[in-house]
Amino acid sequence: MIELDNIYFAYPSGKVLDGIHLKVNKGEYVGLMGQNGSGKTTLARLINGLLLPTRGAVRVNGISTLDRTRLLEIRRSVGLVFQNPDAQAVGETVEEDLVFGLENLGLPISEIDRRITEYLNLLGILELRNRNIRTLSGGQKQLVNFAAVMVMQPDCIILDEPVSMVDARHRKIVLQHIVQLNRNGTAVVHITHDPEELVECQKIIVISEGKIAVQGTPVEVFGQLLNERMLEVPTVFALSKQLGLSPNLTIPGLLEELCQLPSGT
Amino acid sequence: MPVTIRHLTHIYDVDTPWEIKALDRIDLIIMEGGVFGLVGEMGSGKSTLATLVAGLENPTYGKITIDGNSPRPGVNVGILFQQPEDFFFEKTLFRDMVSVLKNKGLTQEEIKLQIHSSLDMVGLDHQILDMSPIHLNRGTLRLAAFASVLAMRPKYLILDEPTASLDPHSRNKVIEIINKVSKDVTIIYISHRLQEIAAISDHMAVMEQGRIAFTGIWQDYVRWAVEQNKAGDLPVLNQVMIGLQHQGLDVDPAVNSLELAVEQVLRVKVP
Amino acid sequence: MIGKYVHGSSSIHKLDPRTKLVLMLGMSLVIYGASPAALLFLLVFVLLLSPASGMPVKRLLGSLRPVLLLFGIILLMHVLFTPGAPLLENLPFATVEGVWTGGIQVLRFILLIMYTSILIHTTSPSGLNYALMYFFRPLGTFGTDIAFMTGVAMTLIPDLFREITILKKAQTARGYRLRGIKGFTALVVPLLNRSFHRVDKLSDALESRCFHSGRRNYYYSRVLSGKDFFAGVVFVIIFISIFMV
Repeated sequence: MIELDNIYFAYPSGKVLDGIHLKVNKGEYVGLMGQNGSGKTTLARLINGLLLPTRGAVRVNGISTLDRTRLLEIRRSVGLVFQNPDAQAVGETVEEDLVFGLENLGLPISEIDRRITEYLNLLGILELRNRNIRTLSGGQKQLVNFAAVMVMQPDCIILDEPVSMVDARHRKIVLQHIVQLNRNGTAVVHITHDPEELVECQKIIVISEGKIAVQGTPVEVFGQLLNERMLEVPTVFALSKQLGLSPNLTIPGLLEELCQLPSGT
Repeated sequence: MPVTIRHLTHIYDVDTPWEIKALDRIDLIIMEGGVFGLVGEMGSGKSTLATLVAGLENPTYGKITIDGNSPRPGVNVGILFQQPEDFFFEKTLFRDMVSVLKNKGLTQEEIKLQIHSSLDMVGLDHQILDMSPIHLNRGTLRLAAFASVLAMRPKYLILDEPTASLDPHSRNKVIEIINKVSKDVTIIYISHRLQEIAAISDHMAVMEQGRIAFTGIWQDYVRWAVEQNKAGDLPVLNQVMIGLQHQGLDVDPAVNSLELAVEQVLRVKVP
Repeated sequence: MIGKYVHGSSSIHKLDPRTKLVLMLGMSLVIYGASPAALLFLLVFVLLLSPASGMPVKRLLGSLRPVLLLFGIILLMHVLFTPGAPLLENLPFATVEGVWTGGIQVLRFILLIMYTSILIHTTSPSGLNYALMYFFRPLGTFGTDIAFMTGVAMTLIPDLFREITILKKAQTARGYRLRGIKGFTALVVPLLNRSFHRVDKLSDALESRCFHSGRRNYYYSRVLSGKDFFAGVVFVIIFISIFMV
């Protein structure tokens, strides 16, 4: 449903995206990994039309982002959650923040009300409904940002480093909700430099210096990254490989395999 | 001589409807030498504590002394705030760093030497001094900010989330430098990333809701976290080790590197 | 600062924000045109209004502190440049009339600030935004866009102040003395930098959530109550008394 067709993009400062071909299918969970400055944040903004490619086209459900008259349609299908929990809040209370997007969609008041209750509940923050956003912790704020986008029910949500500025406890919660969101049918593009966040992806794409360096399943990609000593890989994966075990991605998986091993030194 | 924090309580906006108690009767001693880690979530008070120890604000109640004196920013204690690359504003980096030292009564030559040596400490080329902050990337700017505050030669240096927003490669570089620098300066390292605290700190404290919840070394912290049912907050490596402990195996749960973890596993299992 | 909104349930809090905005504008006119005697009445009125709105008089008076210097200057200007009988032997330029007119002018400002403080104290930013939206609606798309912009700007003001506090601490920590042009630059340049970044990111977020020109707030709606009419009547009585007497 999202297609990046041979994208070329250049910033005035010289940073460049060159020849990017990317496809995100309905319901897919795609991870986009790269170092700071590799161009991954630019990709996020190219997908929903905040930035336009210099060459090539970005298509969402067939509509090109270059078609400025259909921009709202694109943004209804693709939601974007940004990195900084503080820089996305509209309005004073959590409820007001969620109402904003729904008013933009022109939904009836009863529907707005219903969706807010539903998604705040889903994310476990219903009790924060009337709280002033500024009094919340970073993690809570990010959950609210997440809710504000989810509530618009896009076909795909792009997350640009969603937990890099979030405390440890909420980090886990947000990541769990992302996985759950995908299981319920929403496509997810998860952009980050931290491989630990991407263990549940179906497909990972590694961007380096404006080009796609590696892509494949998590196991394939992390294996290659490890061999070529490129970027970091999830701790469990690295540990499993060092011990010569199968390529585990989760702690329970690793512990399970270790449990089966014979004891001794 | 240590940093002594006694009965420290700090309340913002006293006597207004927005009054908030950020710190509640904190007692803490930070010994000289090495790295002291300070962990806490947002709202735990760690940033407030940092500001007070840096001498930038006076506490509502209680006392902080550094080597028996009150904290004086730029003299006996320095602080590097989060996202320090935002604070550069002069035409060239050199002018920023010079301003930092101008009020210390040093000669031009001495100032230049001190700036150069702090750049060396963080591994930056002297050439960047002539460049404008606009043309440098975030990682370099952050190191420059680090050098800038090192140039003041404080005895204690507080680093507030120095690796925030950095990718793993830059992060490791910063930690390497901090290790090197900690031989001459006592570092107070504030972070919510426990892996870093584990890798780098000699002693640590954990703050929760304005109070100190734990002080000690990393090994003890891991034990404490398990007792408090907070094992899920620990770094992945430690969670694996604890999982193995639950299987009845005798492993050290407080490993702080991949190599040590592998070592521990090979002590008890044959892959 | 003129003050911040404090959540409360006083009778002034319960008034519709549109009422308060209109009354505030009306009150500004009254303050401007009132005679010195009437000004004293308005002073007494606001000092009674203050505790009734949950704001202790002490805090109301505190809101004047930032502008004391301005008052001093205004008073001084009037004392020096108003023709009339000399005030003191050795100060031929200072006149008694000057003190009087200066004092009255300052009193008008004081009243303006105090009434505005009560307005801000009792009206949430969302409430003010609602009122603005309501009054700008007749101006069509342009109107609602302006009202929306104002609303967003209002939410950014506390962030701005927080930034300044952080910047002051950070630059002091880096050894800057925040005095003079250098000190000013040390604050203003990073402040503008961070502010632009913040606003840039916010506008990205707004656009991503399908913001479009002409969008309207319709989820929240308010109905005027008896209290609002009562307040309106009270104001009309004050208005008439002051300009008829």
